[in-house]
Amino acid sequence: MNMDWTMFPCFALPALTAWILAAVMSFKGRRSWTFALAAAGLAIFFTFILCLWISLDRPPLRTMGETRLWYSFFMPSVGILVYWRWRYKWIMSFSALMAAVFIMVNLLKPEIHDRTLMPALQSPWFAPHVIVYMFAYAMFGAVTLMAICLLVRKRAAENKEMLICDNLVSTGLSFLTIGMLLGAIWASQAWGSFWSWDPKETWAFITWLAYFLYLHMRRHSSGTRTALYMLIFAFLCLQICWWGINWLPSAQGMSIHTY
Amino acid sequence: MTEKLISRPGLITGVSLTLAGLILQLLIGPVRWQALDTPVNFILLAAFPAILFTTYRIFGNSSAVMWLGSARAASASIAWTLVMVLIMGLIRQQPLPIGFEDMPAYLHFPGLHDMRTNWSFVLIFLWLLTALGMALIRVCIPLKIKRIAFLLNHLGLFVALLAGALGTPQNRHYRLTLKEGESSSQIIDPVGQPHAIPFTIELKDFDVTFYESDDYDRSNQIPKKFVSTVGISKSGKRDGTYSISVNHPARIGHWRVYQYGYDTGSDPEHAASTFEIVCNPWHGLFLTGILIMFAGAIALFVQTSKRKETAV
Repeated sequence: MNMDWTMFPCFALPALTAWILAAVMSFKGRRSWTFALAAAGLAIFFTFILCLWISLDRPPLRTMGETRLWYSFFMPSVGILVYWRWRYKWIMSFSALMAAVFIMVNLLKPEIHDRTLMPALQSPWFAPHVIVYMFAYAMFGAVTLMAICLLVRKRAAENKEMLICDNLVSTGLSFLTIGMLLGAIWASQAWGSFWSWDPKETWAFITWLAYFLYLHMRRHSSGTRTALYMLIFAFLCLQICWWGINWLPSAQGMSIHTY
Repeated sequence: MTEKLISRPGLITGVSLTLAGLILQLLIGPVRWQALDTPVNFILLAAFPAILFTTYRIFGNSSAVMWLGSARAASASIAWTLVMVLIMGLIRQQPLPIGFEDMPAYLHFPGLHDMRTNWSFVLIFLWLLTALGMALIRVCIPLKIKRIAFLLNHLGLFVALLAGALGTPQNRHYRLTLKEGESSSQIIDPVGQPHAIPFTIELKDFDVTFYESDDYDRSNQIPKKFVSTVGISKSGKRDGTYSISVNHPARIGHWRVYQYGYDTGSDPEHAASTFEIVCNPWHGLFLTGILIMFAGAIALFVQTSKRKETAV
């Protein structure tokens, strides 16, 4: 089968419709419908990823457009997992919105996609490293939206709302840590050192520290607003690490993480 | 309880360490990691945890030591480390070329272009390591099973950071370029000094395959794979033949040989292959730290998903 990006809307739009309907159903309290619709959307979307993988003859993880593809897939996955585990009604609408944003970016700004994969990326560590990172990013995307909502509205965040943030950050951090460690092991296989303070690595470390700072602050500080601002700051660091690095003057021509 | 990000002791500690670092940077120039070369690093590996433990045992009731192992001190030390690493991320890092360290110390001031040898960075890093160690002792002795995620996360990071820092002086990276048929048992470092390596490496064969393209000009082609076949011999005896490509290094004792690059030059039939030859005796300890952190990340995930349901 030959799948390319021209087929993307035929899969992305039905999947997105299913996720939006799932969000509506979760607000109406229809649990089975929520699960069924979310799963249907995920299945449709994953079919596209899988077919693209086969026709590219390599995992679609290299270009920015390809990582956005995984992000759009993981946002609703995280949403439905969190809904299943903690029964938060709002989470599906959050994650459907995030998925929609990334699908739109891919529709409006498709990037050049080719088949080549440079030798450093031909590694069994490649797929788990990026996929685990994208999953963590999806968690942090959800918690950032939540933090903004809590900050914008007038009344202070309640304890149980802060606990949701803590849970999302802890889960995201466990994935972020695993992604980083897989990267370190891979780097020692490919380049001969676990960590070399490459700009991408430096910003990954900054992001990691920022989220850990949030968790430590929550252990001793009653101040919720500072903690919520910290979540937004951490997400900005994550954006610099993810794509901002390409525009950062201090990183120009310095990173071996440019593909 | 406070709304503040950093409490007063955290602010005072951070400012003092940063200032002390700046003074040291002005007076004696950048940190020379080479000063920690064997046996100093092995002594520190044993001494540092021992000092932390003894301090905790003797002064454990003093407010300063109690503070050092607290969550507040953890936040403060993480926040200061974050500031230092942010500087590293925002200011282009360009270590001085080898041979320039002997310039007058004040010319390295404030040394923000090479944070790894910046005294403020190193002192803040030492504080982070101390806070980590103290927190481990405070929380994990005696060990309770519900503290397992805490133990693994903090211990793994402690081991990895310690191995990374103490291994620095012994972590050697060299480049070596060979043409087919050539062999060498010494490498030239970036200053031009020859160094002997404990084996002889001979490039027997080198192959590049390119991605198919319509373009016949090789300089525009993208390599798919490049493989060096090398023979290794130790003190005249043949050790074996290795096939080395990117992501597939050869391991010879503490040494690893990586495929770094190649140069087809004008004569594509006799390409030159470049290797990165690495010796890091601390590889194993760093890897141990990473694996402990790996287990810690899984434990954190399990612990979080077991938390009480708090439906909204």
